[in-house]
Amino acid sequence: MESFEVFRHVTIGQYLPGESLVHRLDPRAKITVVLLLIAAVTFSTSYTAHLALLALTLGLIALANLPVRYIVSGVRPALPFILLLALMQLFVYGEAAASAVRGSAVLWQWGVLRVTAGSLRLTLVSLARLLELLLLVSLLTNATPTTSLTYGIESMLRPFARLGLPAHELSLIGTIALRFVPVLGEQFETILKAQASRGANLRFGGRLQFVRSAQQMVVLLVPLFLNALLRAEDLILAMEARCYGGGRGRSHYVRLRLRAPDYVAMALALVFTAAVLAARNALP
Amino acid sequence: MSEPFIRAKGLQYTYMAGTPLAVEALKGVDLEVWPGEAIGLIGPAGAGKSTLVQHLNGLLRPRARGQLWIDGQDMGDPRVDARPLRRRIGLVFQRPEDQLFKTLVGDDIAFGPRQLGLPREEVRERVRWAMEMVGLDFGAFVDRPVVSLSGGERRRAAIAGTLALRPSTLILDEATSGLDPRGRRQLLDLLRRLHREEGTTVILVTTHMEDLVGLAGRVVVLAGGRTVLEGSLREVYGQADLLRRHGLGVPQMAEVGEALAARGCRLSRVPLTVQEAEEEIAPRLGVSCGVV
Repeated sequence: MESFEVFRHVTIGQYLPGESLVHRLDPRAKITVVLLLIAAVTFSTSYTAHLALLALTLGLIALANLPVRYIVSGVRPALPFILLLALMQLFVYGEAAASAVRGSAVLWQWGVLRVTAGSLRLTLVSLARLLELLLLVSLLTNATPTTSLTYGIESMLRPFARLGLPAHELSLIGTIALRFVPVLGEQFETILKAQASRGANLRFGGRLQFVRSAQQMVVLLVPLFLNALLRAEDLILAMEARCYGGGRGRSHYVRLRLRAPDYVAMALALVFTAAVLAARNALP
Repeated sequence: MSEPFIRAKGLQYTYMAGTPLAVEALKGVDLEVWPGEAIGLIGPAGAGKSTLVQHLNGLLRPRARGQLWIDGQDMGDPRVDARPLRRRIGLVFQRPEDQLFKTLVGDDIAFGPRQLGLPREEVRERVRWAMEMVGLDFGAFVDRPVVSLSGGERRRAAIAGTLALRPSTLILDEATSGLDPRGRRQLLDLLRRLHREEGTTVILVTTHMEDLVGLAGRVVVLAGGRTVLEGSLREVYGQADLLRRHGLGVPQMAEVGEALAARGCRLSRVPLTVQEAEEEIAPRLGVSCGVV
């Protein structure tokens, strides 16, 4: 059975309204916390650290009242690739991992396939990292509306404006891009359905019929791009009509202000990350 | 009349089912459409009209509750392939002109027939027929670039693209919205002609009940994802209170009849058109004014 709900599985970036503590935190605090934890996730290779990180991220997701099943369902389309990569790391990367990461003991060998303690660790740690990163990014984007996310980024980039960085323009571009993702997604679905109704056979060829697939994409992409360009023109006119100036001296309807919980969250994340990084070679 | 061609019973549909963003669009729709019939589907914005019509050519399928049979096939059965069905049931989307993608008008209209694998001559014949049906002159428009067309011409070209599939059932979702009065009249004339001369089953989705006069034998009113009223055009016209409660406009002539009734002058039937209203009212005034 064909399915036309293409964007059902896109979970990252989908704001889920809520009233939790995480929802109420200042976006800058959330961005800082998530960046710190991403650093911890990226630089630690020990099992202990990743167990702690996994527990922490799951705890934060629970605190934000976000459904874990929904978040994890977002990786389903990529699952075959992830598994393939994991298997390759496990069996083929043995030698390199043995020297690069701790653990050169050969656990299993068959011809050129070799599993070492290092490659096993690399595989497990990579999978844990992937899950943790997914949870962290979801924590940020599922519990923060895109507008406050971009205001947060703009405010964090503002110090760099002195160096000539167009903070406001960058954040405006970000806001508009994010704002139009669901719009274009919806449009894509409509076009998909409309062309299917006109007899288009949207099976996208077979798995190996790239040329045919590409040809069929034309049916979808031409109207999509045309509409996106027209929409962009309308947007420009609408902004011009309201004398949108942007840039310096522009105030916001919602003023961002860091409160006690924001400082506490950032301090805790900093302490946790520092501890994990300091102990990253000492822990098993 | 034999079997209904389309039969929905308690049809339900939820978008993004199983996610926190689930939206219940259909909560229980009953609908029967017989072959060769023309029906109107009306309802306020958000009533589920578009979701319903997307079920009728198999773009959406009943998942959990509710049943839908089309041409004897149970659409809830995942083994049923909806693609052959779409050749017989043409669905024209809202703003169909947004879906044109070829450079030339003729090529775009020919897309459907070409997908069917028809021979060149047949494709050409169908394009000619479809263009004449929608009132685009074949010789003048077939090689025109799509971008050079006006909005109304694009709408007609897009509808021709669906007609070229020669569907036995044609569903139009808000096809008249955004057209000028002449474009609207021409489109409705086309639908009447398709229905009477070609025997096409027509399902017209609209928020303007006036569009249905002289076309739809039966009207189904949808609100809040449910079928709330069904009947002949005149019966539905007569339910002004119910229509208003669901945020629908009441046709002007029905309002005239209602206003007269409120003043103690009950007409023998609910007038659908200005002419009918005149026929009802003129004798009571003791005047005969022929044609208004």
